[in-house]
Amino acid sequence: MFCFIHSSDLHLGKPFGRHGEDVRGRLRQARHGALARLAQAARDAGAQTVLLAGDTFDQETPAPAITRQALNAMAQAGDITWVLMPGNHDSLAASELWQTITRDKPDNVILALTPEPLVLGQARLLPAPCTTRNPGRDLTVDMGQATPEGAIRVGLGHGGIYDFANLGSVAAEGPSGTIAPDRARLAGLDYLGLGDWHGQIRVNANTWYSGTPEPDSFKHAHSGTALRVQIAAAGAAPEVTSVRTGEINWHRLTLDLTPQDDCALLIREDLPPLDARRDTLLHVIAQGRLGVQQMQDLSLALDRTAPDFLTLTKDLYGIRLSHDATDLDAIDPSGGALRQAAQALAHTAQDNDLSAADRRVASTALSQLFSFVAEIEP
Amino acid sequence: MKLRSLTLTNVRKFAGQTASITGIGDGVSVVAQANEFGKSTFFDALHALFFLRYGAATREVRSLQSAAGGAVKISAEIELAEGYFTVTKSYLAQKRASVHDASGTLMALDDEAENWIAQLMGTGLEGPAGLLWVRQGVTALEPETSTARERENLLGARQNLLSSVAGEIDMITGGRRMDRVIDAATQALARLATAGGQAKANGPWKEAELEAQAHAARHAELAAACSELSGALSQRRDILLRLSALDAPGVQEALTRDMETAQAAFDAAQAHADRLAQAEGQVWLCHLEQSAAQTRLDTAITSAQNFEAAQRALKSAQDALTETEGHLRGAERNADAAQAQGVQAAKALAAATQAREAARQDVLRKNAAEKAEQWAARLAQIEEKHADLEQAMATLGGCRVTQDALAGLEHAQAALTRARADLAAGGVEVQITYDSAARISADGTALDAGMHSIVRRQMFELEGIGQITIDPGTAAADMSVVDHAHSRLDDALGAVGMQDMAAARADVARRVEIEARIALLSSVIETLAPDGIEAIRQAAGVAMTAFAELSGTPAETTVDPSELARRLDDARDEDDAARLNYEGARDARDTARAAHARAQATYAAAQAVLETAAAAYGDAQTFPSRRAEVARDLATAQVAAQDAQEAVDALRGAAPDLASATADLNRAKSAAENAREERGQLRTRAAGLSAVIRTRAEDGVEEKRDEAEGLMQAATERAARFAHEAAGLRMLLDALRAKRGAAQAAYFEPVQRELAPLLALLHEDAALSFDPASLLPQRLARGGAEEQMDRLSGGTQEQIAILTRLAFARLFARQGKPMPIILDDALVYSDDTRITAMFTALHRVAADQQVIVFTCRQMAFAGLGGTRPHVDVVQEG
Repeated sequence: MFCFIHSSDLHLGKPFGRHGEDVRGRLRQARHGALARLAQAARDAGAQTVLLAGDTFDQETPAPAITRQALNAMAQAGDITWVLMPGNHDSLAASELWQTITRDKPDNVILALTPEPLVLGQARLLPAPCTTRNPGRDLTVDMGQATPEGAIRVGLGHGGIYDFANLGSVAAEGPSGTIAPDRARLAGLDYLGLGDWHGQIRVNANTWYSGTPEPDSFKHAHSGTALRVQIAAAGAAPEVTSVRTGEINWHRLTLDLTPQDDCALLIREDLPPLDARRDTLLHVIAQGRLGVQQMQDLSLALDRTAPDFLTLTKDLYGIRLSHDATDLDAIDPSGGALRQAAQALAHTAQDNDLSAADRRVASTALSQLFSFVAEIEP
Repeated sequence: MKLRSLTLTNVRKFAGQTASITGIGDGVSVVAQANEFGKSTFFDALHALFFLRYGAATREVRSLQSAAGGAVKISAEIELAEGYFTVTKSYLAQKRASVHDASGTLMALDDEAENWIAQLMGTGLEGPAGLLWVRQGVTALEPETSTARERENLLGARQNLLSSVAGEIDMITGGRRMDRVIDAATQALARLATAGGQAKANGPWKEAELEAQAHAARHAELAAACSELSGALSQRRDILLRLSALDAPGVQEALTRDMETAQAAFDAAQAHADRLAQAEGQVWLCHLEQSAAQTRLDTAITSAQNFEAAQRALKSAQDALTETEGHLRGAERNADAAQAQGVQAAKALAAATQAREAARQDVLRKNAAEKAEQWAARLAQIEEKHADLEQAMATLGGCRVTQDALAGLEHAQAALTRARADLAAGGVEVQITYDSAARISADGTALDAGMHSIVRRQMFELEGIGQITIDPGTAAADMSVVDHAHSRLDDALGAVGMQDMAAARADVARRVEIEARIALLSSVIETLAPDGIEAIRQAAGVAMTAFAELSGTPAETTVDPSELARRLDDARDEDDAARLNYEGARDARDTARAAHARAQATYAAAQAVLETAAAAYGDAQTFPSRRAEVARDLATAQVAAQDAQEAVDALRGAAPDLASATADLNRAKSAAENAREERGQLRTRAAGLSAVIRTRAEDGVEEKRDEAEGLMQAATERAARFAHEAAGLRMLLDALRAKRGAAQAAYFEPVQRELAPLLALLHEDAALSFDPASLLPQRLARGGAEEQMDRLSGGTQEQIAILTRLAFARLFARQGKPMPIILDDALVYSDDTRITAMFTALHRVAADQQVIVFTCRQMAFAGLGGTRPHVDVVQEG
């Protein structure tokens, strides 16, 4: 039997420059902590091996501290055997990085730098390290190499399969790659662990993308996980279980709103629980139609909720403002120039003959008008 | 309301008088009176009647009081829709206000009368007074001299008027709320953007843009560093791949095998070339031998020819010598004969001379002296020649080598030559010619170009080629013979004190020359002193003696001196002739002697040549055999050369291409060398790239680049949000201002509607815009240009102010509250054309509006037309 943890795409050293200083620090710390969490996941799963299928490092030349501290973390988990394989971000072309790792790695770290099979107890690991950033060919073709009779054959690769579209709507976003999705069968593998896609995906019974153990974007709903894989014997079907490893949550909240909706209520209902919010980046995408006051209420509700989270970002451009006489009365009950200006802006915001950008500007202008009117004394 | 009459009592200049204006009709009424009549008094009184309370004692009221004091009484008859009414007020004394109807019934008294009047005049006491009443010199709607209260009242009046027509302006235009929203939006926009719509310096939008730019610049820098790093990594990877390829064992072995193969092929080709060279050398040697044999044969033949030639030359020289001897004998005989003849002649001459001597003692003495001198000179010449002869003899003594000695030397030389020839005949002669810097050396010494004899086996170094050993063969000569002959020659040379044959020959030649000179000198001396020097000395002594004797002994003669002279001349002639003859004979003898001497020398030289030729020729008896032997040697050498040539041809036919083998070896060597050099260069480059990579890697440039990219994007997005916010604010402000402007335009539309036709009377296509705040005319647009009101001429401003009042009056009329328009000396700045237009405007308005004009300009306002109310002034009391 061979039991191991399959993970990938740790992207240590990723800078997260779009975020504020404190958020960046939390995110980087969480990524580094993923190594310890993977080790613990292995222990919890009764495994002694963690396979990292590429992109352990975000850059070809990460800062020395990144590399050293990662190796130190692996060394501290001395009861775990770590297998590092180059991905496309930390490919073999990053010769300086791999020279440093080779020189400084602890004994419990094995490097899969060539397609030569590696001995892992009863198993033979057939790696397909990425030679360059864009190899342009299926490096897993060499996985058909012969191994001793009875050995459990585990492949480790990195890159996109060329049939993402058939994996469902989420994976359909993935770029077409070169790896044959049936490589496990073609090469006689008991399991093929892949990296590159940050969301966890089951390609088939023998082929999985583990996803990144620590999420790094809102793109993948199923990330922050690793896979526990147990193969009873050569030729046996692998038992694959998802294990949670992520520390920071990246939560995307999509709201489809109508003028009848209570936005504040909807937000409250769809938000993560309080205890999770401090470790959550929340991105709210609102679309639909709202009245002016509703829009104000929505913005206000989001602004009030923001401090609960690590960050809260919002995209309200999908909302089309609608208005009625009540909204306009609030501005100018007399029907004077103020009201007329509001009506003109509202009309512009809904004029389909105009570009979306111009409509958004008009919508913003209208919101600003309502804000100003609300601020000044009537 | 229409005013029908106005009566003043005890007002200003009308003290104690009642002045009245009656018969004021509809339309335009003109009260044209001269200055000082009191028009303004009527205006002010009318104004006080409607707008000053009866109990007021203000300055304006007091100003109405006459100089006599007392009550100021003002009364006006007005026509309303309800009928005629008389409004009367008394000020300062007997204060009273009253309103009576047409029947004289009191309608209201005092305060009630004031209320009645106020209601009649509209909101507030001032009502539309400022709009419709144009006081003299105060044409503007809001005079500069107005107090704040007055301006506020006037504004209120305008607002009231316009509000009544168009409604509350604030409601329509948004009023203060609009202003505050616009202010707030303007401030919000000003915080973000400049007037030109760009991000404002030090504003949050600009800060976001600058931050984005800064991050972009930093990103670009870091991207360049990453690119450099990536390039360095890629290059180093390629270098390492190349090094691994170069260091691959198979590659090295292949290079080594290649070189060994090339080396073997080269060696084989070189060995074959060596053998070929050796064979060619053998051919060359055979040719040398052949050439040497031919040379010996030619030498033998030449020596025979030379010997024969020398013999012939000797015979010829001998014949010449014999001939010259004969010539010499003959010349000597002739000289002797001539001499004898000369002696005879001399005797005769002497006799003649003696004969004459006697006569010419002096002459004889002179002659003797001359003779003595001649003899002395001759003696000197002879002695000189003798000295030269002795010198030559002495020099001759320095010549060590005699002809015989030379012959011996020549013999020894010939022997040596024979020995060498024999030796050379047994050895080979090598002609060395160089056409490059390479040299042939033997025993470590480079050989000069030219012929070299090789008489024993000897190895020669051929620079750049190798070595060649020449073995002259079994006929190598015995060097001892040569040595012996050389030694004999040396001894012979040593015996005569000569270093070499050339010196010896030179010595001999010198000897010959000296001997020839000696012979010549001897000949000359003999010629000069045939009897020897002593004889000459004696002769010279005799001449001296004779001279000495003649000096002391006078001569005696009987012969005619002329005859003696003639005889003497004859004797002289004969003597001369004899002498000449003798001299000629002597010269001929000398010439013959010289020729004989030369013939002797020639003969001697021919002898020497013959000896030398004989030495070379050798024994005549053995010559044929020797010649035959040399001929045989030549034939043998020719055969050997042919054989050697055939061997060379065979080797050439089988020769591998040494040039190709050399080129292939060079190629293999250069390939190996290039591989070594390339490895070295690649290692050096890799080390440099590693340094760059380490530096960049330690800097973490990729992470910094990605971070900068994120920060740049965040700042860019923030700037975009600010830009969007600014765009929204601009759109909001545009909308607000547009709607406000439209509302204001709509608000002033009634005024504009009334004003337009009036304005058109003065300016075609003119339009007046109003300030929505002050409700006053703000700008006049005409001819495509707009002008601020305060920039217009006084006349235009006056006209517009009046037209505006007329428009306002029309509005009052539209509301059903027509008010008379009262002008007191207005239009003072208008020219004749404009004033006519204004008159037309007044009449236009007066169609349903009462216009009352007070003026002192009777002629100017004659064109106004209108009715002329009746003006009376009646003394009271």
